[in-house]
Amino acid sequence: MMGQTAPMREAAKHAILILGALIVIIPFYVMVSYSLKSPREIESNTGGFFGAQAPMVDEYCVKVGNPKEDCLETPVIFNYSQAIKKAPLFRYLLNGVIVTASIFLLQVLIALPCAYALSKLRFWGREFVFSLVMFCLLIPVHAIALPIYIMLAKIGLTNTYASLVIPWTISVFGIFLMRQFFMTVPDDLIDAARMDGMSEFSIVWKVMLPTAIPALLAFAIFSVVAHWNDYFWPRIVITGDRDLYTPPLGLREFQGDADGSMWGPMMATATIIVTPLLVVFMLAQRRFIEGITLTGMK
Amino acid sequence: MADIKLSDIQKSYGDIPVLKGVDLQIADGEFLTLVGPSGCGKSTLLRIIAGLEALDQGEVLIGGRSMNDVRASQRDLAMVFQSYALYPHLSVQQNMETPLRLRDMSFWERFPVLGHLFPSRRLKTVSIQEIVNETATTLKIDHLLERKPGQLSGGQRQRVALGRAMVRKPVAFLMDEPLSNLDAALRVHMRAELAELHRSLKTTFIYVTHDQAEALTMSDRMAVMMEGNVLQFGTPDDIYKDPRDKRVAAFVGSPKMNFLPGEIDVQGRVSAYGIPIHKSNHTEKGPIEIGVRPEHLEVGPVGRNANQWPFTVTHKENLGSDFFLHGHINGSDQRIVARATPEKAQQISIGAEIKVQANPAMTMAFAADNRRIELVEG
Repeated sequence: MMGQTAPMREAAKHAILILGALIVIIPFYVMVSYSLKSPREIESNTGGFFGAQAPMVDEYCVKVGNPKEDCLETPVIFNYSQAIKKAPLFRYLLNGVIVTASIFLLQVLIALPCAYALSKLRFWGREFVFSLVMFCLLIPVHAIALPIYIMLAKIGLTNTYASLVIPWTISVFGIFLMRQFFMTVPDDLIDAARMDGMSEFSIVWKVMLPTAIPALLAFAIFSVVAHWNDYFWPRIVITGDRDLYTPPLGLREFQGDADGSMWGPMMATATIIVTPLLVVFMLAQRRFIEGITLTGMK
Repeated sequence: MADIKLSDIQKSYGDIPVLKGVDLQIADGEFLTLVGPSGCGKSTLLRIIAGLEALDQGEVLIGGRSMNDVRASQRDLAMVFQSYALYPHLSVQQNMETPLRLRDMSFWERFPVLGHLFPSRRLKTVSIQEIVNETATTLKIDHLLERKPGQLSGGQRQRVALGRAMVRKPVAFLMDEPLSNLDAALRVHMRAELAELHRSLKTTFIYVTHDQAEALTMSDRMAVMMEGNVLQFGTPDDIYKDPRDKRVAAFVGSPKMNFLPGEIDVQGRVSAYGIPIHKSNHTEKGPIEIGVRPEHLEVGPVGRNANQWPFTVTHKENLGSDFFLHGHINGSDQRIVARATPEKAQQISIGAEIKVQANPAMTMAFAADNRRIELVEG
């Protein structure tokens, strides 16, 4: 039926979707392409996607006083080795894992009982509390960044993992998403668990959590992507100690030195940072979409 | 083993009263049905007995002990839910083990990994598995133990839910419309099976349903509830033959009892549509309603008796063993249903003008306030 009844409409739909996809993909294309090319190719915008991979001269190497012949490098290898050598990128990646995992676990630890209470327990003022949650969804992070920074600074927590994690432990979005999902869980299931002798906390962890896995995965992706890629907050609270840098902060290493920006290594770093996310998303894609559509259980 | 006593149970949601002072005494081992239209408070009452709902006033006594401050899990009751409420992420076996593990094992014995350090855990696990296997065999679900609830049919889920309730050997089973999600044939089959199960377990069953047929077929006694009150409490036979309230009479029985406008004249004689019914009452006067069940309306003409109502047939319902004739008496727009044998019904076509007559012995009278009025012969 499709294509026969309204071929033009279908074509228009696809054209719009393709355009949208291009807008999303082009920056990635540029990122990967630049990570493969030599600085000259990047500046002159030549060499296609892969670049010519002609040997190039490492200017820094020459400046230090080595003969030119010893400083010849293939652009790809130069970019990626610089990305790893010039900054302790693996340390940054590890920091990223520690921070995003801690944030996510703490968010779940808080959001699930909250969502359970807001969806399944009857108490005075529940609707009011929920409307507060909704209200908090409207507050932009940047508006409260300064007061939070000052609070953290006053208790001496800046330049610690804690300062990277604590402000994000209560995810209003997580509470909201899980509450909406819990609303679809039949009350009978909870009553059955109560009759079986479970405490309210056991119900949250042993009944609600397993049934909410798809929604939780969706939330995990939102949360992990947001905090893995976050540049703003780590930039504010991590001022000195490079050992605490998260991957996006690592990008700064290549920006605006005296030598000018090193686009090749910088884009190589960006590619390395993004890859784990892409891999995880590909693996979890099916369940992610399940969770977003909030397919409950019957 | 224990009897259950409810005294003056009251409950309201906000300003809306749901239960208006319910008193019931349920004997040990009895199959009691709470039946009524939706919204009558029967499920709320069951949840109050279970301890899932708090009551505003009154007392629930199980075995003479007040349960008002006892948690649901400590009341030693088991409940079967309409939606079965099986844990979707656990296998049938784990579903049935859950209540036993929670009751018999300590927190630390149940703890993942660490629990294995306790030697007592092993013994308990074995005895729990034995009980589960035994129950599964009784319910003929032993071949399904490894499956998840999502892989079971409605009837199988129903059995697993029953099994999960049975493993605890509770003092009473509470069932909240457990058959209403099954298809019609399976429902009728499960009725018989549940009744048999009750006989073999000899445990109290409290069964909630809106289906009067389930109540009539399964229970030892039934309580007909409406608008938060128990209108009548008795054996199914009593309730069918001797309803004390017009609403009970209308609710129990299918097709419904017919109600005809009638009156009691100054001599105390009862008539409907101007035709006497050979019954009388000497204390009440004025307009009443006459109740006659479809099987007590004889389809005529019956002899030469002049005391018959003219009846216009508008619809015939064929049930195979019986026919139900729908129609109007005296041209009024009230729909009346009468039962006829297939032989008789074959001679009657739609649109036919026939006569019907009420069996006087089975005719009931109700006052305007729904109260039953006693009639005497003559």
